[in-house]
Amino acid sequence: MNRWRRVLLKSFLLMPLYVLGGVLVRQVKTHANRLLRPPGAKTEDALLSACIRCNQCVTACPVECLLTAKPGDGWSTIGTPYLIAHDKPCNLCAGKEQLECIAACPTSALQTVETRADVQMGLAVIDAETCLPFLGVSCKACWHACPFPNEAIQFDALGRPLIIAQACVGCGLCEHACLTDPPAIWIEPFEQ
Amino acid sequence: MSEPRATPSLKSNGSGPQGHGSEAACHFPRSRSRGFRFWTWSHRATAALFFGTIMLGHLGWLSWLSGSPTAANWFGVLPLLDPLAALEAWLASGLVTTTMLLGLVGTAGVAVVLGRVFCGWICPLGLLLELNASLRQRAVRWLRRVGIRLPQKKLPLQLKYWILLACVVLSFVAALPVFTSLSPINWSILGLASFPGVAILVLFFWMVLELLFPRAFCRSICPLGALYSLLGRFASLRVRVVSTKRIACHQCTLHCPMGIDVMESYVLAEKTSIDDPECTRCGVCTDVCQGNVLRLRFQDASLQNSPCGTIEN
Repeated sequence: MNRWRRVLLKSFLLMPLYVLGGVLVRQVKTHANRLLRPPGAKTEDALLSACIRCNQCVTACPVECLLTAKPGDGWSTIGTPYLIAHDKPCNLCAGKEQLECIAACPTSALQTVETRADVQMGLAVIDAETCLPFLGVSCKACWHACPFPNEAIQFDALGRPLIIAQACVGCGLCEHACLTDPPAIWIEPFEQ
Repeated sequence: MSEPRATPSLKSNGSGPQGHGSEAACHFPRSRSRGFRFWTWSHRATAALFFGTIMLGHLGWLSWLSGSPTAANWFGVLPLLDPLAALEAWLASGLVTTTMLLGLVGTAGVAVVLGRVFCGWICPLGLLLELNASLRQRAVRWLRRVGIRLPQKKLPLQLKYWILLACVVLSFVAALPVFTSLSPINWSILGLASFPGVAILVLFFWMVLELLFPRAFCRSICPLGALYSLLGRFASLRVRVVSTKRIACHQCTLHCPMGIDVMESYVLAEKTSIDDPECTRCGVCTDVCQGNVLRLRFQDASLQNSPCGTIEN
């Protein structure tokens, strides 16, 4: 009994130190590189807190678009899944019954979505200086690639594309399909 | 009953003046050759098999297994989850999934019945550091021949429980599964597959550190081991004393990977089983035991002092 009392007392005394350490860790959690996360990740913080770095989503991905974060991507993100839409975009498991990465995730890091339109990975952004229709060349490559073509990408009278933020899921198919190099349309991952 | 006994086979086997296990043990007889060390090689082979399969599954080469040491899915139906990872993820995110709870049955549930078996029989880092420790023994003997004594330092065993508490509190406050995100156990699969350079450096760091602090990671640092120790506190699988023919040869103490003083604290103290929370049920002590006194058993042997003093099992 005396031994347990000592242990309790010690942990009580150490607790402020631990809490202080936790606050410190919370401050230095890296958000340096903003990574594009797989579907089902609500926010960056939600993913980082629940992801146990098991990489089952990476193995489950049918198009092998998911990558594992490496030490260079920031110490707190090591082992978490991300994708580079320019190289290999997420096709939202087209033709599959479910989003395989979400089904494979054992924790709540990737959370179930009702429909594919509810996925929120990021938002497509267009660079008006390099996008071909803005320069007077007819192009609909992004529209052809988009899984929600008429909802997420619309064209004005001059044939220039516009992103509808509410409908864009941030899958990156448009970035992958863009004809210019570097792409004139890319995904901005949601902050935090 | 408790004095060192030299057997004839000892003389034919002893090739030098050194003890087999440790540099501190020159006055103990070298372990008698008892043929194939079944449990020693069983637990190493099992851990190697787990390492190989999890690595292949992690690389996506197996259809029936995916994941890493923190969480794996076997045959598409059986999730296994590192209890510390589950605890940290729950504390950090505040969310629990059914997979998390199901995955604990096969790990925490097993630990409750079998004790800290994960550390000896599955953990890839445990296997690496155990092989590293036997390399160290060779290095110690070789260095002594050229007149260098490798110091042998110890960290307190309780340290890992404080690290476990730190992981729990830090995960909650920082909203980040602290140990899981930087776990060298996980990196021995995930790291070697995804960022081999850094992972090899980290594993090498622990191997070099353990030249001075033998098995310090498993004994005194690993919070996952601490959690398994706590879970397996009342496990029924234990190394048990099955014979009264106790010979104080101290081979069990010398060879124990976790540094438990099996001989003094348990066998000579007339305990019926090795009740140490550190015990990983690796069975090394049963292999090296000179008198066949120790066995991995679920129940205590009924010891009677028969005339010959032993009960064969």
